[in-house]
This record gives sequence, C-alpha cells and structure tokens, in this order.
Amino acid sequence: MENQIVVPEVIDNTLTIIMYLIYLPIALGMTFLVARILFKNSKIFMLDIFHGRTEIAFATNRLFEIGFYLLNIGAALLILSTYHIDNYQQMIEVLSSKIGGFSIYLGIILFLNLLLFFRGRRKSNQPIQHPIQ
Amino acid sequence: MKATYIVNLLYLLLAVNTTYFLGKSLNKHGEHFLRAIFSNRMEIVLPVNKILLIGFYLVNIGLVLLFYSTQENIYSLSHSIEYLSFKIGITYLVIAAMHYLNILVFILIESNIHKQTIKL
Repeated sequence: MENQIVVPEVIDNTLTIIMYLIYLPIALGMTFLVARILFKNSKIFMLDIFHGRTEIAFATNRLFEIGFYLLNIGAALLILSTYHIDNYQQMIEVLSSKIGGFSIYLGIILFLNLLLFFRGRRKSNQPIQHPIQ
Repeated sequence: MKATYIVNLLYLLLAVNTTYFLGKSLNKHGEHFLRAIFSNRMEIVLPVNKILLIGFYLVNIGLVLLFYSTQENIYSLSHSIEYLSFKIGITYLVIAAMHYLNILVFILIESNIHKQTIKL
C-alpha cells in the first residue's frame, strides 16, 4: 500500500467567489434597509414605553438598532458558505435559496421586534399593582 | 501558510474594531440610563460608566481571542472567505447576545427606579 497524502484542492472556484460577492452586498444591504425603516418608526413606541422620557427612549432605540445590526449581519455571515459550484445555473439556485432564506429570517426577526415593542408598550401602560419592596 | 496568517489577522482586526465601536456607543447611550439611576449625580455616573466600559472591553476582547485559536490551513480564496465569515458571524452573534442582555439589565433597573420615584 502506498502512502496517500491528502492534498486539498488548490483550484479556486471562481463561481463560488462570484456568488459570495453577489450574496454579501445584497444581504448586508437588506439588513441596513430593514434596520433603518424599523428603527425610524420605532421611536414613537419607545417614547410610549418610557412615558415621554425622550433621552432614555432614543438611547434605547439606538441600542436596539445596534443589536439588530449585530444579530443579522452575524446570521448573514454564518449562512454564507456553500459547496462547490460548477455552473451558472447552480450558482443562481444557490444564491436564490440563500437570499430567500435570509429574507424570511429577517422578516421573522422584524416581527419579533415589533412584538417586543407592542409588549413593552402594554406592560408599561399597566398601572402599578404590587408595592415595590 | 501565509494566507492563514492574513485571514487570522483580518479576523482579529474586524472583531476588535467592532468591539471597540460597540463599547463606545454603549458607553455613550448607557450614560442616560446611569443618569436616571443615580438621579443625575455626575460624580458617580462618570466613574461607573468608565468602569462598565472597561469591563465590557475585557469580556468581549477575551471572547474574540478565545475564538481566535485555529488548527485549520487556508488553501484558497473561497475557503478563506468562508472561514472568515463563519468566524466573524459567530463572534457577532455572541456579542449581539451580550448586547441584548446589557440592554435588558439597563431597562429593568431603570424601570424599577422610575416606579419607585413615582410612588414616593
């Protein structure tokens, strides 16, 4: 038996790289767009939650925005890697499945954020029932 | 071998930079909360804010360095993109989780203080 040394493939897969270069700007751009729209319109919720204390409301809004960016860019980068792509048809299929999956994920996160805002608003509008120790 | 070094260096640069700017913005926006908690006594707010910032940097840069260690060799451009994005993605997710925890703590403490001041 001859010794077989496993040499990894050194051939760079150009189509894979092209796919990454298309996927990354689309995913990041989608994240930025959604974050800007969501957090421009969430200021009113924040003001409601914090009973009109403007400084804290806007600070919380900004902090949530940064968290949203981190979460979604992290997820977008995490699902980036793919198998060997041989032709353009495969590239388009992989690309569309990735972008579709990411946009569904982004939609779910968007609705979760909205849910969070509504819940916070309801919770902060409840009168104080229990005495605080 | 050289590519491995470059990719690891890039990872370190990106992750540490993100941590730095995140800490700065957390510091800036957290000050409003601290002012509410300590009822505007700036001589307490500023030192506490600084200490919290240092703690944040320590924990997050520690995490970044923890994920740094690798046994893998990079052998192509596409592999280096995959590797880098996977690592950065994991780091971002962990930092995001810590960030949300931070916000939660801020909001809980602040709302408790607010309720107390209303009752008084």
